[in-house]
Amino acid sequence: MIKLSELHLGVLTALGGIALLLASAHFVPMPGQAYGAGTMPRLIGWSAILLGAFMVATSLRHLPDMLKPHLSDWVYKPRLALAALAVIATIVSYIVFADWLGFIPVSFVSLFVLMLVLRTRPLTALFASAVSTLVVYYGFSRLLMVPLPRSEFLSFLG
Amino acid sequence: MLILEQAAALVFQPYVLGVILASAAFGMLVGAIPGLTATMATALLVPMTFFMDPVPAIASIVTATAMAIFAGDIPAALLRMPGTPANAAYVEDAYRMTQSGRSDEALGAALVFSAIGGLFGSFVLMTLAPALAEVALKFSSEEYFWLVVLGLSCAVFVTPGSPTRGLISLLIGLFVATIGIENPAGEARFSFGNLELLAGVQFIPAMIGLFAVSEVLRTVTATIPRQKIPRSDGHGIFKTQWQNLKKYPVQTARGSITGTALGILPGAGADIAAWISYAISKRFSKQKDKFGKGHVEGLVEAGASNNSAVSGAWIPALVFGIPGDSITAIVIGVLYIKGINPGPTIFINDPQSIYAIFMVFILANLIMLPLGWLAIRGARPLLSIPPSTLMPMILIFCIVGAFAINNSMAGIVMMLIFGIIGFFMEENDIPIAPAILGMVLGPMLEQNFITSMIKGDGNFLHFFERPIAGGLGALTILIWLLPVLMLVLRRGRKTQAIA
Amino acid sequence: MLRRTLLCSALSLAAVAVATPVLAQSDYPNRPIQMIVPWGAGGGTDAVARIIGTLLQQELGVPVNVVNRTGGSGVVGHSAIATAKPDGYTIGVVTIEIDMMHWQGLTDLTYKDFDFLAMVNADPGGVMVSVDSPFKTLPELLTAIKEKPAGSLKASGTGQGGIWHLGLAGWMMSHGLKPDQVTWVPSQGAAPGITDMVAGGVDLVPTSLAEGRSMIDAKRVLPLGSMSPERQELFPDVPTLKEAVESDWTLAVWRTVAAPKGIPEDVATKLGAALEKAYNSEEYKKFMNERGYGMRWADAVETTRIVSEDDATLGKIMKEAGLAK
Repeated sequence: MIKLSELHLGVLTALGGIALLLASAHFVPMPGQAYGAGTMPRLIGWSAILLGAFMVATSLRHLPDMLKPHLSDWVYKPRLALAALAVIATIVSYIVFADWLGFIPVSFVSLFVLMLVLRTRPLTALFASAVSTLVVYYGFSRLLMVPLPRSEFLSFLG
Repeated sequence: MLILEQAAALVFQPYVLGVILASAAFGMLVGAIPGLTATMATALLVPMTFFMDPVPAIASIVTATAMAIFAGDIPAALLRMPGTPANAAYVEDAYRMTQSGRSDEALGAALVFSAIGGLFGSFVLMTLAPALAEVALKFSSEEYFWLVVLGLSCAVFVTPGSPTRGLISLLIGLFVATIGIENPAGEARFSFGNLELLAGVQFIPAMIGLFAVSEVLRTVTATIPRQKIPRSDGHGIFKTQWQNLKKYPVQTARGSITGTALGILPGAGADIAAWISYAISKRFSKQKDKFGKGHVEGLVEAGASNNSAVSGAWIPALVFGIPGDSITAIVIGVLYIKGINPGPTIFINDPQSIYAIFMVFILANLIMLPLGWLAIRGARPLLSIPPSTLMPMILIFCIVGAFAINNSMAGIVMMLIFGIIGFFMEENDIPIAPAILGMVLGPMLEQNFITSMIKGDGNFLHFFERPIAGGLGALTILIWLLPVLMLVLRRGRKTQAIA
Repeated sequence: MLRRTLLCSALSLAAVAVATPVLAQSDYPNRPIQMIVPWGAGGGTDAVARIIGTLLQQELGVPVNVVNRTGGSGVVGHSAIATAKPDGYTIGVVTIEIDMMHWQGLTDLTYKDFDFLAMVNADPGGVMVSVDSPFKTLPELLTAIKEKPAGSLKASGTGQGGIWHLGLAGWMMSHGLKPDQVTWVPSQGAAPGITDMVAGGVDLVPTSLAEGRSMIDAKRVLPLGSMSPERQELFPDVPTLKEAVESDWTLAVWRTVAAPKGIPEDVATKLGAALEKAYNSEEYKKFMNERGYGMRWADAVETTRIVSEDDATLGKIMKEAGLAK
């Protein structure tokens, strides 16, 4: 993604700290106590502000090179960027479709597609995604009784 | 002697030995799959133990948990996917060793030193249990507070590279731990009305995301294609360990003792033990700069530590029925059902059963060696799969593992979010380990701080009033001040020299 | 040809559509049942759920898988039960927290979102002190609570606003004292609270006596009273609050088996009967006695009544103690 300098990280950390302080402003102490739900977030918030300030102060010496963030190398290579997106898409598609279609078809198809995107040979990909789907399915749902998503209308698959 | 013979007669029966073997294989399987924990292995065994005699019932749990804790190291070393927070302490070293073709040595070390730690903990359990359990009873929130602060100090040591980035990571971990309602005030924090966030961020999905998913992302976006991992050098799994033992005897002993001590304390346990031991190991090592880059030393010490902590947790459980972790909580229930009531008199009322259980501990830690060897050999082919095929397979394991911990899609969502966070962190040289430490210790820090403050009516001096707490507090402050003092002294000497 | 095929499939579809509900009911259960537990593995609810699950499995002849859905003070698991499909293949253990969480403003979920099948256990609260405590009887403890300035004594045993915190507040109020006369120190459950009391961290723990059983047996913890109408079978020497200090306060935490609202009646009947058999089995009795858990059976109607009554009582106390939103 993006590579940040000590200066950027310092600013981000301090801003995170401030956000945390604001977000925990509404926590009131526990009845009869000086402490409560807000104590810990405030402690973290102040630590973040101090740390951020320190990072900014120390990086001011190298100011010019610290100003411009630069992008990671892979961003410029369509194939690699596509691979990263495909990995994320695989997880997202599982979250979206698994409850609806059931574990076996979703796992098999998304593995197969991901392997193709990563340039596994089609036959190997077919075999590998089938085997891993079945191993995971039987291992988890039969042996270890994990209730993997099962489909309503594809229930004959398990 | 008669008691020992009776105990042996209870253990060395084909049926009991068969149960031990089967539970060992089961524990190995559960532990090797990220997302399935030793606790889950125990819970799954409980219904089966209803139909067993007391000794095989307990034996099955002892064996399965010992195996599961070790087996968590297999995906940690091979796929950078730690099974438990305890395994996360040294996952970086183990994984880097694998990358350079030393997976056999890494896993062998995890196996052998786990067994050594486990055996040490068992011996302590056998000989000193009643006396040590008394000590555990003296620990209240003030003592635990100082222990946690000591643990947090470890963050400084587990961070490779820039300390500021280590601290950022630690703060991220501490913040993540504040999400949800499981805090002393019982108030929902940063959950934005979301039901799943109300429950807080689950450890295991976050860990799988931070370590494994981010690694998958890193692999597929590597501009220089990842070299195929060299085959392990054929040195054998055990051969290298003899040298490691000779090289690191102090580390082994220190890890075992620290682990047992922390295991005995019901508020600490294996997770903290591994981190503290790893930090101690680095602090006193002659090769500090090698830690986190594929060095076996920390693995030796922390590996011994977490398994000895698992044995140590049984001490308060057997002597006072105090659960040190969720595993012993289940075990105490099983003990009651089987008519072996935990308590100081357990050694007098039911010595045969207790000694039989002790024998099972030793057996379990011994049987771990051949079975672990088989598991390591069995997992080896994974490494010869090219990344373009292996990464998707890892991904499906991640997904199911993140789901299995609470049987919920929310786990997978968490995993994805943390995977992207972890990827971003690593691209910016922010280490992941301190964030995990923050997530482990954050809730304990808050719990023990707030409750101590309530007990002391808001007076901070309260943290020094109890003798053990005062000692621990002084020690912590000393550790923090020592570098400053040294600096001042050195400066003083320098100015003198100049003058 | 085509028409006939279409007709056939339409007919068979219709047949399936008509037949499915009937089949599902007379066939029930024909696949594994999921039993959701809103609390973690290792706790008392988990233990009870697992034994019930095992026994139900024998009764019904299909696997009953116990699934832990933890977190959010029980909200996550309880809503997972309530929002599941009401087909009898997802049931769960509903605990007394269902009568508290909506008062605390954590969720809109109430007992009305469930079809209760049975109550299988109830544990009365108690009052325990460390053996090192200066108080050896309940009247001595109560006098000290009354005479010392408010907040001098500390108690623990569950989180802030948890059931035992309420139990203590209710007991205090029954003597006309302020609900926070004894300061509550939140803990992550009964076991850590009791351990902390023995370590000298707090003065008393008002959890169920079952939870302190091993420490009572080890002579580290002294049980002073029981928040039940009658003495408990397992602790015959421990007086009730009524006997010891003339308090009318009673409290018992219960565990019920429930299904999401709206399951078919015959499925509910079948499950209820299976649960009753499981409850009356030797294994269950033995298990509960060994663990020190209280046996308590109530059928669907009775359970619903108890749950709704407790909902009103607890709501009142929570409001008075300032714990409700």
